[in-house]
Amino acid sequence: MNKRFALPTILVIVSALLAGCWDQVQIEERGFVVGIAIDAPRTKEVEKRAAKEAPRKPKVKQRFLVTHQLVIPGGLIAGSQGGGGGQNTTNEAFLNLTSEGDSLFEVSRELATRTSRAPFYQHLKVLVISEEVARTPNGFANAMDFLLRDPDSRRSGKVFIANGLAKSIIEVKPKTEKLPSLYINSIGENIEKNARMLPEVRIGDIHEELLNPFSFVIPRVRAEKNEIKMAGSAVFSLYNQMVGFLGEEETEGLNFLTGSIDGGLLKAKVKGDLVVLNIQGTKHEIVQDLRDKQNFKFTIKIECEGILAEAYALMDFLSKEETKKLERAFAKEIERMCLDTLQKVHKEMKVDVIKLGSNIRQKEYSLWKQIQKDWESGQRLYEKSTIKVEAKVYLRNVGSINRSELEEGR
Amino acid sequence: MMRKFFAQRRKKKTSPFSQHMQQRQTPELTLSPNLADNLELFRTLLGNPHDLLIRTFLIGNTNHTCAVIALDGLADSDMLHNQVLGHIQLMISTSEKSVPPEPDEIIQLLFEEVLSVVEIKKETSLTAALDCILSGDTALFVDGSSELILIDSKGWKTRGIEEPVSEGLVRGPRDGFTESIRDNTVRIRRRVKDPNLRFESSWVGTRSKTELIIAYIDDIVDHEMLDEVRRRIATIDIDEVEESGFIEQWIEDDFLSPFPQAHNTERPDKVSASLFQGRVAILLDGTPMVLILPVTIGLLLHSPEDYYERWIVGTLTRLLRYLAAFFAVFSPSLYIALVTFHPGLIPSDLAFSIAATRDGVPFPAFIESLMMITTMELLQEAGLRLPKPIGQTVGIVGGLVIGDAAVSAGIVSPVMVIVVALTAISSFAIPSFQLAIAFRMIRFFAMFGAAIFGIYGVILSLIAIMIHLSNLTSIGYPYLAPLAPQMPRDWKDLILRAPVTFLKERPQALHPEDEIRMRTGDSK
Amino acid sequence: MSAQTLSEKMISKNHMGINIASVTVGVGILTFPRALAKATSGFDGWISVVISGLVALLIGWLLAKLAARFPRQTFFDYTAIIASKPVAYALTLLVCLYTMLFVSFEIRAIGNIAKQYLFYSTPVEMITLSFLLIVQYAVAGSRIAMLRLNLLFLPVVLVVIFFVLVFTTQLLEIENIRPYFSSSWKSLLEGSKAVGLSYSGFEIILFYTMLMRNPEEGPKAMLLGLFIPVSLYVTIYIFVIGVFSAEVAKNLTYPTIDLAKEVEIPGGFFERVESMFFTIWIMTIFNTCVMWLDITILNLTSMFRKVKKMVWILALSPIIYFVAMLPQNLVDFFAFADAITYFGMIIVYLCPICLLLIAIMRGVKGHE
Repeated sequence: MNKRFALPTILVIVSALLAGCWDQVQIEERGFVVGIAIDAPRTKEVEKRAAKEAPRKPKVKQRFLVTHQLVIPGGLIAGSQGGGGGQNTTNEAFLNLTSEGDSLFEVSRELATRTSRAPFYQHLKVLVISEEVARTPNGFANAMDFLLRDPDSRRSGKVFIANGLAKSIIEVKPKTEKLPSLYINSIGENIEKNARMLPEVRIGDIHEELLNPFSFVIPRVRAEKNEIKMAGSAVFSLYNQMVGFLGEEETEGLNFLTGSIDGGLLKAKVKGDLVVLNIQGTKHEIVQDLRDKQNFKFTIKIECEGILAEAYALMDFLSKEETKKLERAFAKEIERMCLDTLQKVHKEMKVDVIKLGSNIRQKEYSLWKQIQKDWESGQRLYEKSTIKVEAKVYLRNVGSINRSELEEGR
Repeated sequence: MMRKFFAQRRKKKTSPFSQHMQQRQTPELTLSPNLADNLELFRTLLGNPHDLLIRTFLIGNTNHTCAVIALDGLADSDMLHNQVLGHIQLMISTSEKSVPPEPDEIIQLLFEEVLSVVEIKKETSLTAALDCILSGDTALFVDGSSELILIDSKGWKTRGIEEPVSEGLVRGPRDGFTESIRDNTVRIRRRVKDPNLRFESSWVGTRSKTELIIAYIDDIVDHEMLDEVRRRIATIDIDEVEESGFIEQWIEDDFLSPFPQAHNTERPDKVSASLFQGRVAILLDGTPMVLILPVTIGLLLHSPEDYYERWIVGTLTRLLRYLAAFFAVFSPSLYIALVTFHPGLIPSDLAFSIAATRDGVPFPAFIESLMMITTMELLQEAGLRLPKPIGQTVGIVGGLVIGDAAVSAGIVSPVMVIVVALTAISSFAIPSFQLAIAFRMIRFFAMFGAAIFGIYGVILSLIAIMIHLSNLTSIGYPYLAPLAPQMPRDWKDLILRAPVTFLKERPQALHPEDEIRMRTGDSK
Repeated sequence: MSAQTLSEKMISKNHMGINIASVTVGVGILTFPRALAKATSGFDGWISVVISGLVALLIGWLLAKLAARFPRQTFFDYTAIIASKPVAYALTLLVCLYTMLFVSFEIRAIGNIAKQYLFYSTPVEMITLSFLLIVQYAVAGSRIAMLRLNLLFLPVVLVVIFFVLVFTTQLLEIENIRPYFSSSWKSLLEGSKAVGLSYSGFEIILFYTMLMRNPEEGPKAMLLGLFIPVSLYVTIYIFVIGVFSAEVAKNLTYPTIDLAKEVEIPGGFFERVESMFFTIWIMTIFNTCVMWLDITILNLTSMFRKVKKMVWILALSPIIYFVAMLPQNLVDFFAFADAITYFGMIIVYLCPICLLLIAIMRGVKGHE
C-alpha cells in the first residue's frame, strides 16, 4: 500500500519543484551597481511635485539625491571580436542614473522604472556622500542604514566624503580606467605611498563607528577635471555628524598620532636646505596620566623609521653626528605636524579622533565606565586634558649615494 | 532491495524457467551400441549442420568401425589429424598387441594406451557428449560400444594478446585479456604463482552454457563474501550470457543506482593486484572483461599507474583525479548557479566580463548548459562508433570547431564552451569508464538542482548523492569505505599514496584473512 | 549478513563523538555571538561558552551513564524497565514530540536564512520542502549509512571554518578585544544561559548508545563530542568580537554569517567565501535534522513495533512541514525556538537524570 502512495506523492512534489526557478535572473540582465553617490537635493521641485501627486503622504525631514553607477558590461571589453558579445552603441562602460527620494530603498526600486536592469548591489565598491548630507544631523547615519541592513550588500565597500557634490565625483571619466568607481577604489589602495590619505574606511567599519561613542574620520575626495584627488579627511563628532574637514597636512599629522602610517614622506630643513625621508613604518604609544580627572595628561610617543629619499642639503650622511642631526630635524618636523593637528582637533574642533578615549577604555576599563559620559560631552574632559607629543626618528639607510654634489661646487 | 529478491529466488530451487527449459530439452537419451544409429542421432539433434565433421574408419585390420565427430573450426583439425586419427592408425598398425575383439575393450585400449592426448575422458550420457562437442571436443565412437571417448581438442582462432584499448597506461604491462577463458586464466596464473590461487569453474546460461570462473586467493579472501558471491551466481537462470555485464547486473546490490557495483577491466595486472588485496574476480568465456568484486569508490578512482610510479607522482596524480571527479560532476551546475543566481559570488571583474560575453545570447544559462552538455554526450557516443582514425578527429572537430562556431553564431557564450571543455576533459581523466558514465548521469541531476535553487540546489544534490553512496553496498561491503565507516589504516592509500614501505597491510575494508603483505624489512 | 558486516552495524566511540558534535553544531552557531555579546558586552563571553560547555558535559555524562547501563536497548525499553510501561509510553511520546518540533525548527531556520541570503523570490515553502525531502531520503536508508554521513561531512565543515577563520585574522583588531576580564559574574552567567541553548543536541546519546560497540565508552564519546563544539564556539566568538567589536556584534542578526562575508582572500579569486560557508552550514544543519528525525522514528518504532519505518516517515513529514511553516515572522520564530529548547530541557535533561537516580537506587541494570 505504501508503495502505491509513495510514487504519486513524489511525482506531485517533484512537479511542484519543476515549476520553480523563481530566482533565475540571467547575469547579463543584472544591473551591477559599482558606485553610489548621495547628495542633498538642490531644488525643491521634485518634492513639490510628489506632494502634489499625493498630498496626504506623510512628510519626512530629509530627502536624498542618489546617483547609481551601473556597469554596462559590453563596454568593458575593448573591441569585441565579432563574437556573440552584444553590440553596445556607446563605448562607455557605465551609466549614471540619478533619482530623488526620501528613502534609499525607494530610490533603488525607482530605478527599476527607468532601466532594463534591476540594481544589484553585491559588487558595490564605492560610496560617496556629500558634505552637505554629512553635516545634517543624522543625515549620514540615515544614508548608511539601507546599505547596512540589506543582507545582500557587502560590508567591504569604501566610504568617502565629497568636498562639494558627490555626484561629480563618480562622474569623472578617468583615462586609465573604464569605471570611475573602480578608479576611486584603486586610489584608496595607494595608502602605502602617501601619508596624507587616511586608511580606507569600509562600510563595515562605519557601522562600528556609528555605534561606538567616539568621533571618527572618513577620507575626503574632491573632483577635478579628469581626475580625483583623495587627500584630507572629514571629521565626524560622536553624534555622527560632520563638523569639519582636515586638510592634507593635518591629516598627515593625524595619521602619525594614530599610528596609521604605512608609508609616505617627511620633509625637514637642515642647514637651510631640504631633506626628505621615505617613511618605512611608524610605531606609536600613548602614555597616560589619569590621576587628575579634570586634567588628564597624555604623552604620545611616536617612533618612525625610514630611509633617506632626497637630500638637497650638503652633508656627510654617513657620519654619526650628521645622522643624529637629521634624525632630530625629522623628529621636530613630526612634532610640529602633530601639534598643528592637535591644535585643530583638540582645541578647535574638540573631537577625539586620535583615539585617546579608546585607549583609556582598553587600559583602564573601570575608570572609563565612570567618565564615559563626560569624555567628549558632559564635562568635556577631553578638552581639558593636556596632550604632548614626543617623536623619535631612526634613519636606517641613506640610499645608493652619499653626496650628490660636492660643497665646493656651490 | 535486491536482497529480498534473492531470498525469494533461493527458495525456488527450480524456477519456472528452469522447469521450462528442462521440458524443452530432449529426454535423456542414451547411446546405442550401434554406431550408425549414434551418428544419425547426432546429426538430427544438431540439425544436420554443414560444419559437423564425421569420419568413420576401421581400426587396424579388424572389422570394427570407429567414428570421430567434431565441429569444424571449434576442434583443432591439426590435432584431429595427428594426435587422434594419425595415432590410432599408426599405433594400431605398428602395435604388437592384437586389437581386442570386444568394442568396450577397444575403447579401453584407445583410452589408456593409444591416444596421446592429455585431456580425455569416457562418457555415456548423450547430453554431456553433445555439450562437449558443442564446446569443441571430439567424440570417438566404436561400433558396438555405448561408451564414447571425449577428446579435448579445443582450438579455435583467438585474438592475439594486445593492450586493452580503453585502459592504456604509460607505464605498465601491455598485455590484456582476450575472449578465450583459458588464455585469461593463463594471464592470471603468470602473475599469481601462489598455490592458494583458486579457479572455481562452472557454467551459466542454459542455452549458451558459457563457462564462468570465480578466481580468488584462498587464504586472503574473506570467505563470507565469497560464499555470497557463489550464492548469487548460482541463482543466475537465463538463456544466454554473452558478456560479463549480464553477471554484473544480476548480482549487483542495487540495480537502481547509477554507480557501478563491480569493476570490470581488461588488464591482468589489475586483476592480480585485486586478488592479492582479497577481492574476487569473475571471468567469463567469450569476453575479455573480467569482473572484480567487491568494489569501493576508492578502487574506481585509482589507476594501476599510481602504484607503478613513485609515491609523490602517485599522490599528486590522485589528487588531480579527485579534482577532476569534482569538476566532471559539478562544473556545469556551478556555472548555472553562479551565473544565474549568485553573480555576487564571482569576483567583480570576472562577473562583468561574463556578463559582457553573454550579452547577445538568446538562451538562459540553464538551457545553454543543457544544450552544450547534450551535444557533448552525443559527440562522445558518436566517437565510440567511428573507426579509429576518424574518431580522433571527431574529438578535435567537435570540441573546437563546433564550439567556436556556436560562439560565433551567438548561440552560446564562450564561458559555456570553456565549462563544457573542462567537464569533458575531467570526465576523461577518470580511469573507470563506468564511473564516468555514472558521473554523466549525476551531472544532469546537479544541473537541475542548480537551475531551480542555485547554489543551494547544488548543495542539496551533493548531499543527496552522498546519502545514496553512503547507503550503497557492493556484496554487502559499504561503498564508501574507508571513508565511512572510518578505517584510518586504509587512508594511506586513499587520497595519498604512501611510499611503498608504508603500505604494509592489505585494505581493511575488505576484511582480508591475511592482513600483512609486507615484512617490515630492517635490512636493505 | 555476516559477523563482520554485523560489526559494521555498530559504531565506535569516536564515531559517536562525531555524531554528537555534528548534531550540536547547528543553527545556534549563527546566532549565539549576538546573544552572548548582549549579555556580557565584551570579550569575556568566551568564559560563558566554556562554563555552559562544562554544564552540558556534566549533564551529558549523566545521560551517557544512564544509557550505558542498558546496552542494546532502546530508550523506550529501558525507561519501561526503570519506571513502568505507561510512564515509558508517556515519556517517549513527549520525547518524540520534542524531536519532531526540533526538526521543524531546524528546517524553518534553513528556509529563513537561505531565503534571506540566497534567494529573493523563491518562496520559503519551497526551500523548506526540498530540504525536508532530502532529509527524508537520508532517513529512509539504513541507520548506519545515515550516521556515516556525519563522518563524511563534519571534517569538511571543520576544515572550511578553519580556513574562513584563518583568513579573517587580518581583520582582527586588538582594540576590539581588550579590555579583558571586565564583566561581572552575573553577566557571565547570563551569557552562559544564552549560549547554553546552542548546545542542545548531545542528548542523542540517550538513543544511540544501543548502536555502540562498547556502550560503557559513552561518557568518553560525550567528552570528545562536546569538545569540538565548545572549542568551535570559543574560537568563533573571539573572532566575531575581534573583527566587529561587541557593539556591532550586538546589532548583527547573524554575526557568524557576516564574519564569513568579511573574508577577503588575497589574490581575489574566491572573493566571496561566504558561499563555501553556506555550503558547510547547510551540510551541518542537514546532519542535525536527519539525526533528530531518525530518533523520532527510532522511538516510534520501538513503541509500536508493528508499524513499518516508511509509514512513520511519510506520516510525520506533513506534520513537521506544517509546524515549520507556522511562525509568521522572525521574532515569532526565535520565540518558538526558545520555547522548544526549554521544553526539551525538561524532557531530555531532567527526566533522564531522574531516571538515572531511580535506576541507581533500585539497582536496575540492563542485560547484554
